[in-house]
Amino acid sequence: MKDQLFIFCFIVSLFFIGCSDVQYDKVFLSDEDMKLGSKAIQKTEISSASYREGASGADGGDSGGGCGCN
Amino acid sequence: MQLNVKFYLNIVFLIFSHLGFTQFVIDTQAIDSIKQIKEVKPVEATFLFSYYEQDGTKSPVTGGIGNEALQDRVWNVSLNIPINDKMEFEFLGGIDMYSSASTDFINNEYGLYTETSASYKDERIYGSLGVLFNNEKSRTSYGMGIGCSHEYDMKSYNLSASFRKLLKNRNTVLFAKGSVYNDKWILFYPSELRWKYKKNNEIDENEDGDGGSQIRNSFNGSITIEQDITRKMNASITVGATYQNGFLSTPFHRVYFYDSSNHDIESLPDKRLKIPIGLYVNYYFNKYLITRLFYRYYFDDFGIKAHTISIELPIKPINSFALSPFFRYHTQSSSYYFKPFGFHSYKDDFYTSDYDLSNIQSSRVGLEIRFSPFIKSKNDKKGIVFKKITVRSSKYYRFKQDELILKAYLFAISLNFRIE
Repeated sequence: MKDQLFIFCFIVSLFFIGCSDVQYDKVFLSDEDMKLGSKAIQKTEISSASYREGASGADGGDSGGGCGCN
Repeated sequence: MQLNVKFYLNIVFLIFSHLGFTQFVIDTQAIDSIKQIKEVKPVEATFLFSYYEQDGTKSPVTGGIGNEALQDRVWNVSLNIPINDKMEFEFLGGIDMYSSASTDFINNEYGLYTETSASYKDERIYGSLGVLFNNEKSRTSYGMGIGCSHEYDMKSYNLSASFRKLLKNRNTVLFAKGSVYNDKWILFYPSELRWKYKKNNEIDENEDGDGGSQIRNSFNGSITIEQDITRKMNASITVGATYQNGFLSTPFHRVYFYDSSNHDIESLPDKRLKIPIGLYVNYYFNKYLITRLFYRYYFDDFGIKAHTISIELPIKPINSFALSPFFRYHTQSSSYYFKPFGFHSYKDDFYTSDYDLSNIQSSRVGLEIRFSPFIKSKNDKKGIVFKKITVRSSKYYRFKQDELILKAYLFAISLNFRIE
């Protein structure tokens, strides 16, 4: 558990490296494929994976709202 | 008076035009960008169709053995309707139509009879409405939504709320989201066990769903930090939590015991806490290639720990066309409550033979093709303008100790339109 906490804190700290006052130009970052998170077309993919696997969340899917019991 | 105004305007124009062409161009661009900010965004409409089929050999409806064949067709439409630069509405509506071999055995323990159950074919209808308030000055937006879904054995209602803030450096976005689902199960027990769970012991073999109903609540919350790391790299981290309570078992999942000739329905605790932590990292190599990486660590109090990783490589030979191969791998440990067919003891408090909760590995491999023919066109077209078409197809394989126990195929097509 301590190792997991350390890795988590390390990853979070990486985010603050980028928190400088420099404002990056967004030419490359505004590309459609640079959008963070899942895409709308992945809706069925994410819901089917959450039904067929015990894990869910943090990828745009919620728990609840259908039995998914097939 | 009017002539004087025109005269002075002409003088001003002449003076400014002598300041230099470059300066003039820059000013025009600035005015254009202000206009773009103030202009109300067009209505966006997305139509999505997807087809999913799976086949497996470990159906929980028959106790962890048996046919898991399933087909699911999904149609949905989403609309984003900006009212002004401060407010927009989001609407989503759809229908899932599925047929399932495994749930066909609810009324048919060993699949020996020709009788079909109520769930052999069914539809799930759902819809949601959301509203988003933007405040440009404070760089924040607030959203809230309401939704519902209905299928033969479940009615569900949900509420959601979200908050987004772009920090002053304009490289960091904080996003928080919460949702609550209230699901009402209409209980369909396996036909041979219906007498046991039937309310008031009124036995009617011809009637389905006579076990009453149960409630399941799900509370989802997540916090996301999105960060521009460099000019070509961004990343986000999401920490989520889901708490569920109520009826978390599935009433028609059978469990067979080694120490009893009787069998029962699965029994799971009435509370569950899930914690997912997800990380997205995107990198823009050049105009031809981008990498999209995703990693998730997950754990819950059912004993499942999971790692999921995926990589997607959008390749763009031309600006309007993208070809994106992708691969996803998932591995998870078993829940405390899972054992295969005939391995449970009837003395246990909790038991399931649902392989979704077992120690499994899965992989998905696929390809996405996107075509945006009017990516370069200006807003000179009015009416309905076709924006892009996206097709995504993948194959999914689920293994247990190197044995292929389930495979699935998924195809999705999405059409985006702009309405002005």
